Amino acid sequence: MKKDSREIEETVAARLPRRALMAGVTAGTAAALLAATGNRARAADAAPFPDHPHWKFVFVNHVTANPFFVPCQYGIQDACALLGCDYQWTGSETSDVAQMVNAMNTAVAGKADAIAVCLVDPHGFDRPAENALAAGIPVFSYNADSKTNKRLAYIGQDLFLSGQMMGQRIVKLVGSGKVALFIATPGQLNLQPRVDGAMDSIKKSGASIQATMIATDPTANASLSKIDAYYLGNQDVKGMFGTGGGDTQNCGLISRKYNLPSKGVHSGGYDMLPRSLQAVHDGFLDFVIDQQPYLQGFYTVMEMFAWKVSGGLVGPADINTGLKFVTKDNVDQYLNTKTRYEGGGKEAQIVPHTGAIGG
Amino acid sequence: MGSGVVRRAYDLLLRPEASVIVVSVALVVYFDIANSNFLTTANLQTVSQFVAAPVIIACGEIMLLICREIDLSVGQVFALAPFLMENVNDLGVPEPLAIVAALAVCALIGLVIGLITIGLRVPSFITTLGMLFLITGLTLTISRGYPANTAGGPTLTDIMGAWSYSEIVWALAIVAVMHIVLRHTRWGLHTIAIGGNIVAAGEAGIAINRIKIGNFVLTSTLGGLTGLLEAFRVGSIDPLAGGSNIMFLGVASGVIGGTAIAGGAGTIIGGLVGGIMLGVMQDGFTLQGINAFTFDIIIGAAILIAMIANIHLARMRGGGPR
Amino acid sequence: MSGAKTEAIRAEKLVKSFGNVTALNGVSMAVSRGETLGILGDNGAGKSTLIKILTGYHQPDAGQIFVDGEPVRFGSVDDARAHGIECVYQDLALVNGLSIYHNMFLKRELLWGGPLRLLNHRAMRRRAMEALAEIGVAVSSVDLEVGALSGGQRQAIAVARAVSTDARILLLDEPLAAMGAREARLIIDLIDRLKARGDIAIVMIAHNYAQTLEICDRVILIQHGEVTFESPAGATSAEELLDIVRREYRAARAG
Repeated sequence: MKKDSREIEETVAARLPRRALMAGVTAGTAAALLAATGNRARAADAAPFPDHPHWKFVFVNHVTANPFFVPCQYGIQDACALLGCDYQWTGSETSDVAQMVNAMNTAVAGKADAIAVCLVDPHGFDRPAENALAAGIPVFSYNADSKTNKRLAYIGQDLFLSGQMMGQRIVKLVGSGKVALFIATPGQLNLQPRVDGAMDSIKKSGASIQATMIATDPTANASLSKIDAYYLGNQDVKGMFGTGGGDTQNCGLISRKYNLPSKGVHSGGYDMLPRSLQAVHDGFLDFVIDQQPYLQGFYTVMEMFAWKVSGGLVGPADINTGLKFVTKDNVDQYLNTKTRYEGGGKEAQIVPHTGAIGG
Repeated sequence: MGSGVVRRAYDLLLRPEASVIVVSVALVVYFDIANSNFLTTANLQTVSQFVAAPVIIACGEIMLLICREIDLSVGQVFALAPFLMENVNDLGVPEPLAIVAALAVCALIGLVIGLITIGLRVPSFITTLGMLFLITGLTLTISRGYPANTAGGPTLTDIMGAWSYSEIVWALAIVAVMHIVLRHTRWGLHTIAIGGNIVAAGEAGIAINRIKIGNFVLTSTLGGLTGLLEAFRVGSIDPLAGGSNIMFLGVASGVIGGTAIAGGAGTIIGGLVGGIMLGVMQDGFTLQGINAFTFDIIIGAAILIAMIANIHLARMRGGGPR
Repeated sequence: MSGAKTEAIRAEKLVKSFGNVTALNGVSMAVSRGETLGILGDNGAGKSTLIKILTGYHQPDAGQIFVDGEPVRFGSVDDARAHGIECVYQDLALVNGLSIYHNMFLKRELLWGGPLRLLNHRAMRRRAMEALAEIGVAVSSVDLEVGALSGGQRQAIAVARAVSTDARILLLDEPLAAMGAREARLIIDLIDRLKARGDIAIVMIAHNYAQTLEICDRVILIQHGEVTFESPAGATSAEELLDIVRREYRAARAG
């Protein structure tokens, strides 16, 4: 489902709840679920549904210990608690595809009720997914997708589109000159499409920007040194942008270290790590893009549950968890609340909102 | 000869491998009770895939550990080999030859490690630590950081890892060969002698340098082979694959199985059994639904408990830790 | 070939210096088949250097060695071995983690025929048992790891290994050092049996005068690179040897 960029911008600006984008889930199910959440703080049992076993949903991830996925896990936890199901969080800590394949195969052999996997490799998960489907286990992808995989649906950000959006913003901010796009693991499908999208819209804009892709490192510490070294070697750069949480945080740190805004150098990137948000607040990052990891976990469980409860008749449907630009204008509320939904806190809470809704 | 047979059986039970087998069987029983899916064909296939790669790596590292050396870079050679094969293949060389070429380069890497360690008298820990970084950089450079696809016809890819049982067959075959080498050839005997008393080995006229360098070549080649098998199994060549993780799993399999980390003694069968124990644990706990964070705690605790049990059994045998 | 007993090895006027230090200053000795020669002297007197020259480890600066009456020059340890000279050093050169029979056949392993060249454990076990039985060393099994044996048994194995190579001249470096009385008995009996064979010449470095006089047929005393005393064992005593040494010691302190 490709929405054109203006529609996305309006949706982003309006900050509507994402439920409006869930095509294919019947209104009845959605209304029932959401009525349950709306009237009570937490549903102790899944009210409209008949008794069902504690289905086990297995989430296979490529960076299980990465802080970006903490709100994702909270989303999974909350949805499972809501629906009376269990989950397992497994995979690899180091983007090791073989480890993830092993975890997936184990889930299939263990007769999991549904499997979700970040498809970071174009073909590595094709066979495991086929095996799962052949065994009657629904397979979903989240956070990263591959078109050749037979997964039932993808829940996550439209990565190429988000890259295009970032590219447009880069053109607006930088105008012309040298721009670096940092990527932790080139070629991997959770990051590469963003770079591709950014390069695409930069080229289409016709601006005289020389954008290069620079590989850093899957770990934040090593990537920091690399970005530092890049800047020292390329002090004529006009923009330094990350395509993942770690790189973006590090761009903010480097921007702060060398006081890049005073030199007219722009920075920005993805994900809402605390230091990135602080950098946005202090003016060292122009923007970060939220891909709503909480929803990536929450909605995936919803889809799995809807599939199980309806015997596969309901869904599945791709869900775009959207992208939101967080800038100096709206960063404060993120900084001042520590919630499960953005990963900063653990307690469940209602976050009050006052005033008009707008960008 | 009846008492002889009984005596041999008793001696077998006292071997270090035996206690690891006992622990593994206990684990299998536990996992089977905890989850009826453990002893299914599908899951045993998965277990075999957890087991195969570290076991093959262990076969090389065990030989090195016995003669008091180590190779920390084998996980990096693991990642490099499939890219070497792909590059050679891209030049127009047919896949089987490309595989041989990749393995030849891995053997060369082992030779370099051996020459630096023996010739320049650098401790192998340091040599292979340097090689670890060097080869990582080499892999990233060759691959430009991008993963690639494996190529090759169905028969070739099946033999080289794509068929579900291919890897474990390779592993068992390599274990059989290396066991014979260690126990029934002069190479193995001299490796043990070098590790046990290098002065005595020298006085006896054993070719210490040749054997040590040979074991380095062996380990690097086995590392490359394992990398190829895993790449074909997954269908994708990834610069981030393997690494220190698989190296540690290989060394751990060997040590758990009874090879002394200080050198002088070792067992290939023990490497297989240690690898099985680790594979059963990793698969079993995942099957049970343990989450990633607690998983590491549990695996670490399980390894410690297994090793403590092993060492105590060894002390009861009256041999002290081997 | 003259004399009732053939001289297995003779050294004449061996000189060896290491830098400024003269380790041997014209040392001569000879041993015959079936005879045991004891070499006594303090540390640093030159005993080890003498042994190392006889085994081909060092080459003498001057002097000549004869084996079976023929002049020889040893360029290496293998040269000496080829002439039937074997040495059992103090460290015994045994690998603790290997069995008795593995140690006895180290670098001389017996193989099955054929291209695979696999170790023939059965043959090695059998030959090891035979070799040990031949010289009267008793062990419960040749499969035992050498590390599990007592000091005396280890020494015996090391000696058995040297003998099993058909050595004709056996050099023993401090074979009874650090051994209790009972263990020493084992070795002394072993050396007696080897003597009785009549075909091996044994040279033994030792510290204990009484033991040496008991075991050896002749003894020589080396002090700072020179042979200062030589005698058949029966013609001297531990006190006499001690006197000579004490005299030397007092002279050194005075001068």
